[in-house]
Amino acid sequence: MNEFIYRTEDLKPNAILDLFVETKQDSNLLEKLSSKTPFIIEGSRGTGKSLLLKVCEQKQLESLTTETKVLPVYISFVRSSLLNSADPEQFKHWMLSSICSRILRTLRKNGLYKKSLQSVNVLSGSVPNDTLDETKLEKITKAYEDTYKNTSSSPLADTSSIPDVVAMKDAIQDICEELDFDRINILFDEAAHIFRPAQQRQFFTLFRDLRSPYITCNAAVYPGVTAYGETFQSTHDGEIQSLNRDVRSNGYIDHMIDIVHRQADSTLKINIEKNRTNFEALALAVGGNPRILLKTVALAPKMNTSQINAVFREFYRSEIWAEHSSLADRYPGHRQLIDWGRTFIKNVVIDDTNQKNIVGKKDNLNTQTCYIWVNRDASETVFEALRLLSYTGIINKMDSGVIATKSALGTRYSINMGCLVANDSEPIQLIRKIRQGLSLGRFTEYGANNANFIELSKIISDFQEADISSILTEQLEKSVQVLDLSFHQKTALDSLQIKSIGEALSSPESHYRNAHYIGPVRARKIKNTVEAAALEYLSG
Amino acid sequence: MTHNLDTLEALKGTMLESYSASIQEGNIPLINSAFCFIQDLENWHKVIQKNSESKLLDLSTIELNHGLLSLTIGQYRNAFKSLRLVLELQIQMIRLSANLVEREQWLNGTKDTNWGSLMDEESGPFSAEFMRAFSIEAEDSRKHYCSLCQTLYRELSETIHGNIPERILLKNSLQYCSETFTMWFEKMDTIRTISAFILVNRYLKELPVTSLDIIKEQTLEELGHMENIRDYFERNVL
Repeated sequence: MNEFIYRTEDLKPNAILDLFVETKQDSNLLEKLSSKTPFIIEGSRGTGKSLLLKVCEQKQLESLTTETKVLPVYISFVRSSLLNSADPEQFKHWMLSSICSRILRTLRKNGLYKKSLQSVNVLSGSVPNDTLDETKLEKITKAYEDTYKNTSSSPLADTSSIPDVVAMKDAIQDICEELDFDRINILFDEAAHIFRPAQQRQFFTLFRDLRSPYITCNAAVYPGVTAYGETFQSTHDGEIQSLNRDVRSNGYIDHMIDIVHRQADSTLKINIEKNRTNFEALALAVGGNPRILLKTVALAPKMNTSQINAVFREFYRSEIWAEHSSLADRYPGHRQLIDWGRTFIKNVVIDDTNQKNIVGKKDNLNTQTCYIWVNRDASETVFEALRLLSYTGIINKMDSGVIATKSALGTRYSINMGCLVANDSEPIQLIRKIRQGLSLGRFTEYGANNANFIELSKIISDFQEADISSILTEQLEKSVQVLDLSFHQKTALDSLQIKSIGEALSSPESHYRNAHYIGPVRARKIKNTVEAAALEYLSG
Repeated sequence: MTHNLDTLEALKGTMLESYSASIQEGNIPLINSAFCFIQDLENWHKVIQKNSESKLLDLSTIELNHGLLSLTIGQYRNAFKSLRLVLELQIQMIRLSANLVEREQWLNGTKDTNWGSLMDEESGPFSAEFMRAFSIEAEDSRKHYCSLCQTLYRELSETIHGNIPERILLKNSLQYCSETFTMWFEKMDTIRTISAFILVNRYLKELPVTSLDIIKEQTLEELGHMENIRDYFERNVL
């Protein structure tokens, strides 16, 4: 039986390149991530942003001594969800100490660390030592990350040893000159929490301020991230590009097969080959999202029609929507937006699109669609709701500045095709028909004064940023059952009496060894997987 | 000596018990499927017997028989090893069919099979060039079948070296194990489909109509989901 790895955090560094299936689009993105120009990849959950950053890191490390002299430093900010101290500048301090620690760790791992390096004491926060003990800044980083445990007793970390941006840039320049590097390429993952605009602003300010001849910054963000701060300007400070895999492209199905093939056993491979039509339906349904692809393939290992139909019925009618709605449980301040978005797509857009396709079938060209267009003058609240839908992958923003009726300008989105056909009695046939006639120029238009948008304005005048501390406490108390883990993993947690997300995060590795048939290696693996799932949940 | 013979007798007893369990009624359909595959290979042998590389197909069929026997008497490791050899021999046959010097060298024992060359993307039987030369437009599928072969070969190879395989349950005794027994047929079925694919893509265009008739039914059973193959038979077989 196949147990897929669909989270990059669960992959060892030496396995990254084995699992990566490169397309032309990926090659272009990798080239941009490796270049001197700052670059931001935007994509929904599970589209492969982290994997791309990790691949860039591995490739640059491989060529470090032979070709280029660029040191890649991968750093994930997923743990930012855990920050819960009374320090009003906790995020900025944590970012700076994390970056310093990460650079030092990368130097160590690649045998480049020298105690004699002038700048090492700046990046470590104190006089360096020969041992592998934690540096002062690593301790500060950890102290901030542990503040989720108890705010009241968490002392404010001593931030005097955290270098400011100028000192950090100088230190990095010194390192590059001493080690004969051209520059350091920092790859920020989970760069900005979707529901924390304040953090987004601080991050992008730092992103911009770090820019120097010796530092390139690149980042992966979600579509819902919009607060770039006062100093960051996307035209000057970083190119932003979406990670979309177009279902209409020629090699799309083959690419999806290759992704599955990297992890499939021979039984699954032959089932896919013999039931190619069914696999194609699944591949079209996921809209280019590898994580959803692997999850739905795992639900239908025999690839027969009844299993595929069950996936459409259960995953695309319920689970994917439940995942979107669960955002509201975590961020109640956004509930109305999230609920409105769900209702709008489910009850209005999908119906409108299916109607359009029925009409389309009757005309000579048999044009089909999975696209909608929203007038650019629709309210910001509407676009915020649509961004949240993009975040969970229910819709995908394609392009803006699209001309529609009466030369109006707007943004085009694609609807997840799995959701589109889920209610049909024969989703496999329907999704293939839609794909065959798919036309980018055919879309349902929603003007600025659409009745559904006016409805939204009545519900919400503006929404407020959530009280992070109380939300975090509430989320940590939730059951581990809400986490995106396999049945076996949840059973293991149950046997260990790990009930809540907070317990999952704070249980040491030794506790995991208490489970039956779990040795030290597996205990670490399970702990890492559980931790990644918990952090993903907390990050929204 | 008596003690040694007693040990062998005990093993024989276990094998016979395994055999009885293997041929129980519930397993007959599975066993029949193996004989269907053997029949498929014998039919292919009939239609390509003029080619000297068909000897490898013959060997492959014998090995399949032996693998089945090993399976029924609880010799599971040997049974899976046989499957690996079945796969290897057939792909090697396809490769040698287009490399006459190597073919003769292999047949007279002066050259061995090299798995790496069988999977070579530039020159192996699954390469674009090879497929274009012989096949009826298998471009879309060849990479996937190549990947399938590599995965299957890796899984079966886990039973060769004596360590504990990850994917195939192998117990340390000759006792019947239903899970392992069933898994052998799963892997065999996969080889049956691969076998159909590689034989069809190598030889189909060369076969006279009378030969097509012999292999039509079995081919459509395995590869009927491929439109180009269905069309070919429709156009060429009355």
